[in-house]
Amino acid sequence: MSSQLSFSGISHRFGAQEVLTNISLEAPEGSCVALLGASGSGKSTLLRIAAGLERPSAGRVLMDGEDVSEVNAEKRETALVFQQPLLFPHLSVVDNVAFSSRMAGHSRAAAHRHACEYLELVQLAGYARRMPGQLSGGQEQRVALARALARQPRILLLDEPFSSLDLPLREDMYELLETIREQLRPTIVLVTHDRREASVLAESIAVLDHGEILQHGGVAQLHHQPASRAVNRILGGLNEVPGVVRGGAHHSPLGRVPVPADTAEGPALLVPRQESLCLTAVEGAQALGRVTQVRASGAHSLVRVALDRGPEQDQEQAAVAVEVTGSPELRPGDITGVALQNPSGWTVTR
Amino acid sequence: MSLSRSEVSRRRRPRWRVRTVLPLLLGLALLIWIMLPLVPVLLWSAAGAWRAPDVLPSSWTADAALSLAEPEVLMAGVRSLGLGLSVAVTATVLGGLAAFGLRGPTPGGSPASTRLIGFVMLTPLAVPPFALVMGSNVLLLGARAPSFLGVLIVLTVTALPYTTYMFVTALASYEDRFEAVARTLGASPAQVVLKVRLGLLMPAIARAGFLAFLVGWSDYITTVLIGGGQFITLPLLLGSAASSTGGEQLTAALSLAMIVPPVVLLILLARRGARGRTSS
Repeated sequence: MSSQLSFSGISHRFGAQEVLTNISLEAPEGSCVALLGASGSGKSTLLRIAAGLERPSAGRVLMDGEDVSEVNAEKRETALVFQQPLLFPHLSVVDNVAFSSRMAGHSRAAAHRHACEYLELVQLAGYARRMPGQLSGGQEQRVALARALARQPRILLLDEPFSSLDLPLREDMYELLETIREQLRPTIVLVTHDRREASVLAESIAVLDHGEILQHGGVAQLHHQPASRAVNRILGGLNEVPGVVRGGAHHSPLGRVPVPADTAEGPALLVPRQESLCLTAVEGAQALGRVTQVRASGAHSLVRVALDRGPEQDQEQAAVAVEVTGSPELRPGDITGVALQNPSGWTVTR
Repeated sequence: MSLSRSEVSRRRRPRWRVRTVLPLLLGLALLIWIMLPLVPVLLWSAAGAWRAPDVLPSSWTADAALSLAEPEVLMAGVRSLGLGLSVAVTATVLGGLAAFGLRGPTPGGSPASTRLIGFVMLTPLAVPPFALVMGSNVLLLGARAPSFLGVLIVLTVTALPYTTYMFVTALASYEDRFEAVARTLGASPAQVVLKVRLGLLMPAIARAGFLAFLVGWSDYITTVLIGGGQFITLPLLLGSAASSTGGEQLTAALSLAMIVPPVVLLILLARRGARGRTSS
């Protein structure tokens, strides 16, 4: 069973400090919404409010339209998985997973049968009798996930659940979560500071900064059409090319780049993602620049280019980062052409 | 010059041996140090006659062991057990509550007041037991408290610093988010306390209870002075036997009887702890 979760005008204070300001957000039934932000942005507090572990200073939490703000955590039908698995160390794996059934008054045998179904789902059926201390980090997190799912929550809340795992284990957990979503269709609210994790797992991302939602939208929208410089940076965008919007295009050292028709005219920053730019031959290039740095990053390299000033006298100096496959045969000081791979661009003004 | 893998392994082996053997030797030495004083006690408990400079008793008897089954000794054992368990329960509960109170700033309190309360709670460790007991005795006589109750109250105060310290140490690493997880899994506040908090603190409860049991089980001064000779426990019988001449056999048998219950309790707790860590 899954439900729609809505936050309506949520604000929260710890003493004099306001940690959340007028948050309104919806997680449709069966969807996965990621709350993305740096430490201290208020995302975990929002999750605790959703779980009923904190009462908001103002605003309402709604589940399927019903106000649950005053409902205690144990009655709220949510389940929370933290970064640390927090398996009860005095209970075996199966007793951990059976915990919610036991709390609901089911017999030990029935609770164990129910728990074993979820252990099977996370591929740990053979580990039922072990104690948490006998599991690896990845196995512990799988059990924590099984324990939360065995509660059959209307909303599954995940607070950076995979960030303590190494990369291969994290990939396994992503696959597992995908399987769980296919089979159970839970509504998931995922808190993470990892934009890649948010992009891989969620359909939509809400970017939080200093207790405010800067933007909530689809993964592609947030990456390519950020609402502000802050969102662009939080989503890993490295480029902010100053220029002017005039006549349906942005004019900058990158040249004339068409922008959406409803873009306001005036000074604006073009924010092409580093993956959306490419290096070209000098002849006939959209823009020219001098390479200032080449940094290898696995199968990709990041090339930083100081762009030449454009023909217009008032254009500011600009630099861009371009992500290229492999290792380019370029050295700092070389001249290169730079071009946008997309026919149009996106600008922000703040 | 690079070393082959077998050469590296050969060179490492002596260090591996030292790391393995040294703790074993130290553990063995510690065991001997603890167990060695028990050897003469064991021998005396079954000795008929044992005169210097004989290395071993010249005759053997079970009289001292049989005397442990006498009603007076059995009753003293029951009283000691009752006192030990009562002190364990009372001091463990109060120590746990005190530690929770000391854990953070109390409502309306400050870290400074918390430290002050902590200091006051630990003062019985600094006050000589005799002074503590004499002062308490006057108060308890005035209050006409029954001897068992009086002994229990004073021994609980004596044991409280130990139990409080055990809980304070355990709570320092206690993770509140376990309780948050339990609540989101449907546990009511009472279930959180019973199924999660008590479970997580069980090792500390066991350690605190064991220490407090030892305080009650092995006490002599408080039982003599507060009990006024009315409340006879095993340590009182042991003291009496030890102070009389020619009572070495009974003294040894009573000493062994004093040692056995705590050791059994310790083994049970250790086994339970080991079982908890490895399987359900």
